[in-house]
Amino acid sequence: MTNQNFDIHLDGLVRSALVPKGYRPIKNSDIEKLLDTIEEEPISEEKKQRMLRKIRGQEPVFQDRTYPESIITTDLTAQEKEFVTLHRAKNRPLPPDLAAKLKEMEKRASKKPKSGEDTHGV
Amino acid sequence: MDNIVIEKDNLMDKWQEDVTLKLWADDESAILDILSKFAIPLEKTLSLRYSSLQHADAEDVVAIAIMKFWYWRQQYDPDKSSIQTVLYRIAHNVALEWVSGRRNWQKAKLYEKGVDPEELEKFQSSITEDKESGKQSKEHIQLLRALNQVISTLPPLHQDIWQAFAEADNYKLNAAKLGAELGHKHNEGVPIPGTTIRGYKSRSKGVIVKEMKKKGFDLKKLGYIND
Repeated sequence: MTNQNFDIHLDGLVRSALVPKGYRPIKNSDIEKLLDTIEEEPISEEKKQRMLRKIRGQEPVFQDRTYPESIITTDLTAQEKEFVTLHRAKNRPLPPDLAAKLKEMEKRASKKPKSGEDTHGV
Repeated sequence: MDNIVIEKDNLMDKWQEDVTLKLWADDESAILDILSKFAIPLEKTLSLRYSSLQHADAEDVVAIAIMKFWYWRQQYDPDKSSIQTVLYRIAHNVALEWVSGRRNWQKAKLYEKGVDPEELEKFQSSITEDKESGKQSKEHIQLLRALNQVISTLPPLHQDIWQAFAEADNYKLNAAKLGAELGHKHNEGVPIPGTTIRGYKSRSKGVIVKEMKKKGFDLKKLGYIND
């Protein structure tokens, strides 16, 4: 049994404590009363059109607003992209240029190093 | 004053009737009517209920609710519930899934056409009984006030954790997603692991129980905790 099961009743009590009953309507009449208490405010044309686009599926919703874009997206270097392609390829044919590069690297790796030659890296 | 209320009710009835007819006639101008009338009130009521719901998210919730209502329009029965109560219930359900961390599910389901009519039928079933109303005794109100005070003394991160679990209602809250959000707010953008979130909650639960006992409320005896 997880902690969450033990806390269900306490979570409910906390909800009652933190959210006033008036903001948690259950009956239809209470919902209508709550909505009635909200002062009427005209909706701007910009907001109207934006919401219409969301309703029609023409604009995404629930964009990840937790992190700024610089954290979410990364630009790979050309070499990093090649490694990614190699990793994803696994037992499948590689693009010709990458296959040629890989062959070249394997050829170099199979040669015995001469004394003093740098053997670091592939 | 009574005449103003009666006139307002009559206007609302007329609005309901007009928009209902438009919905049944597949007239998309009904969406604009609903948006103009209820988008902002719905966003505001949802924000009051779910403090973790940001303004932009509240707009998305309401947009999805209107979209679902539109897809379901032919089954709408004005004799069971008003448009605003159905919309509120749908929006509340969407918000609940959002705050409990199911946003990925929502993204996948969002553009599914033909929303399950059984799922949406429950939103227009008239509810006339509030089971909680019997619990609002003077003692219960004092209990809630004391609990509110105790929670307000917890560290801000712990308060947000309790708020999130409370808002998730009966949904299983995604602690990892909550940790990511709270990490942004409290941990300089570094996500807090889900296990840590649960650990903090468990630890502060002990504090809550102890402090509430000092105030004269034994939460175990009252049946709110099992361990």
